[in-house]
Amino acid sequence: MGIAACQEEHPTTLDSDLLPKEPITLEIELPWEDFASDLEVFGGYGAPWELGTGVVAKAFAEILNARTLVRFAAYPKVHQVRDTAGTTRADSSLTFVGGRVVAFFDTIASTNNGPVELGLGAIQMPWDNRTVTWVTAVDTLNDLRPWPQPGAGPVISIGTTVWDPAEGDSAWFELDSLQVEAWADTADASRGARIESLTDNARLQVARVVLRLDTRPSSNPDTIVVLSAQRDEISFVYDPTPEAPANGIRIGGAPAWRTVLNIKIPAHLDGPAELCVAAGGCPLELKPLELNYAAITLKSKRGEQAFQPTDSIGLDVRQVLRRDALPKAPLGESLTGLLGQRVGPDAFGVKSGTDIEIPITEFVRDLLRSQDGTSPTKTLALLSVFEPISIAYASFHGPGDENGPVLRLVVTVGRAMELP
Amino acid sequence: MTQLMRTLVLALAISLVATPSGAQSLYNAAGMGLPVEAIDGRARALGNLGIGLWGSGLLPGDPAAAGMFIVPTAVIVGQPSWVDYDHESGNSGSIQGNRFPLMGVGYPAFSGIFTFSLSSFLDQHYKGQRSLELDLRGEESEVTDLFEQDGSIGSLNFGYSRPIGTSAALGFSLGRYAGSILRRLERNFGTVSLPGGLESYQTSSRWTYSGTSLTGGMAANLGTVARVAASVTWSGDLNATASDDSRGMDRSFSLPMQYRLGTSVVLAPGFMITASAIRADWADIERDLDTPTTVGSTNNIGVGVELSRANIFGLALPLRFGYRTGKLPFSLGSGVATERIFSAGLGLSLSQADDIVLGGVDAAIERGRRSGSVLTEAFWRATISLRVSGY
Repeated sequence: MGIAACQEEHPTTLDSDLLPKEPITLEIELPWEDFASDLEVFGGYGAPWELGTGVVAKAFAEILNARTLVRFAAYPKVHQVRDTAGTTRADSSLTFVGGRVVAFFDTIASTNNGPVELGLGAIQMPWDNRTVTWVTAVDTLNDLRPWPQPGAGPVISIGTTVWDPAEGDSAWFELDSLQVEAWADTADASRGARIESLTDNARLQVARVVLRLDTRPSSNPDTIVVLSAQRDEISFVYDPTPEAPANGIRIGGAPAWRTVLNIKIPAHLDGPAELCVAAGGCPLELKPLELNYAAITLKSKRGEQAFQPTDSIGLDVRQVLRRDALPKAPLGESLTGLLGQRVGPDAFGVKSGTDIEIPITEFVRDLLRSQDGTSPTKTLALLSVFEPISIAYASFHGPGDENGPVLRLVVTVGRAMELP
Repeated sequence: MTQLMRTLVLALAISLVATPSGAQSLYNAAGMGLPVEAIDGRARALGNLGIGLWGSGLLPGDPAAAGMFIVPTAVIVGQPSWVDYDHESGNSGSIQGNRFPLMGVGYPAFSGIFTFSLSSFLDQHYKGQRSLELDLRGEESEVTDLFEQDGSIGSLNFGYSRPIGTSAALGFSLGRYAGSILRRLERNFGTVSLPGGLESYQTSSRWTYSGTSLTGGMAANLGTVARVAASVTWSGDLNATASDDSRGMDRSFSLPMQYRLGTSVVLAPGFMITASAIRADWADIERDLDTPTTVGSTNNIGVGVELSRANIFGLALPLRFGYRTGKLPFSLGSGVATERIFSAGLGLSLSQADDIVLGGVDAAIERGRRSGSVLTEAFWRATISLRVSGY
């Protein structure tokens, strides 16, 4: 029983008999067929270039090959240099005598524990950063140009290097002055570097690529100054492209996957028995303010090993405003907030079979408010918070067996409020 | 016509001012609540129960008094209070509230005076809280139930009084009980940990009150030294009608007959004593209550003295002292709760023509104690009433 509190104009009673009888709070689990239907998986949302990172892999999980394509921005034209007299001044007559491509890797998202040999090549044909794939260099309106060799080839090999995560998060490839000069023409659509893995069964995430330029200024030709050219564009191509699951739920990937389902909340509940007793009988019409919690609960599973997540994925739920317009249907606001429901990578590996709850309480409350005794159907899309989020995707069991999605409800019901 | 318009405008102004009604006692939670007497600052200061006073014309419990003073009159009463409570469980604390228990206007017509008043009857506002352990997914978590009852019952009274001869008057008023009550329960799941958290559970029911009362009374002056008055109020059932969106049921409550008797005696020039009593047997309502409640009869008496020779800057400044005691109709615990109040106050005549006070303020301060088997309250209560006449 609560303690009395000092509140203006609001006496707090101290007698527990004066409060209404306690309502009961319990959890109800609705199986798939009682709340959802028409599950579909759609892919192709976004493109790898939107990630702003790259991936390299060779025969990862025996099947996945991926290569990172990068194009560098214009080289610096002016630099402040101290001349032979000791005066610092702008030097616009710079000579690039060499350089190196430095690749930085995401050590957490990368799968390797040991050294990986990498190769760098110069791309030979024009390619479009936004539409490039394993087999096509350009796929724009009325312009479809395949690679002469699938996998962004052929390239002129520039060199190889080894990245050992035990020694740092970066690796570099030395460039001669000819290659530096070849990439200086920003009007050349074929310029670009391709980074690939030469070691089998590794999937590396390239966080950043920078071109370091060894520069000889005219004002002090005895000195070598290192300048940087940032990457202008970066993307990656990979093979094979995963097929949509026959009966499962897939979220994430690049391009991203979404899973769409129809939701229909029963207007009345017929159990469990304790609920009926507390409410004074069943069927019980579920009222919005009696619903405390609602969550779609998915059971995680191992997906294709090649596309296993190596980092957390934020799961989002949004209402599909026009299902008939799928896969390009407009979506409503996020039901899970800015970060979504975070799921660690282990849930799709060693801890597969984990229940992942995605709360949709307010959505279900609104549905109960609008149904007014009927049961309207709404469509939800399960997706990643950001699309695309990585080459990896999250996999969950689909409906049809005991591992299928369920809707967990926490409801509180009591007898009607009466006068003393 | 001009006077009638003034009266209507004043009545409107009063109704706008008198809206808030705060709660002033934990005994609001008992049964149908705590009775709120619709009396002004003068009666409060004198320990009077609202009947048999010289000069007070607009008290709903004394309908005949208006017939002894055929002058347009209006009154409004404000009442803040400060309560310290002590519960047998060891809990103690303080609460504070404000209310406007009475506003009324009177207008002469047809050889008498018509009166209209809005008055408080029962205060039902209180809150409650309890903590519970909730077992969810095998984990125990603490949840909190917050309960609030927000309601009060008032009465709209329309009456007529007229003098009988030169020293007596009869009066009656027809009353309509009105008010509403909202009972609301919220369960808060503050410590329960689920993704995204739990939304609170809320349920509520609202009722509106209705009912009828009829009060009749008489008053007589015994020369220039005494006045006696008596009244009786009959009430039909108080009906509580649940709103359409409420799951609660319609209910009906029996209200008691109320008998009042009062007198004022002028023992010497400027020295008056008063005594009054009220009785109401609430026993019949017990069977209408679903919640076990200790219900009793209210036998209240009050006595007081007024020293009216005092003045300031030529304006009358009467001093008053009083004492009253009685029982509460609804109590917490097993025993019937009682109430004792010592009071003092003064009046200030702002405008006076001959013996008629055209504008005045009456103030009272009360120090009281309500005692029951489980709860004791000590309170300070101030009452300020503004009265205008002859406008």
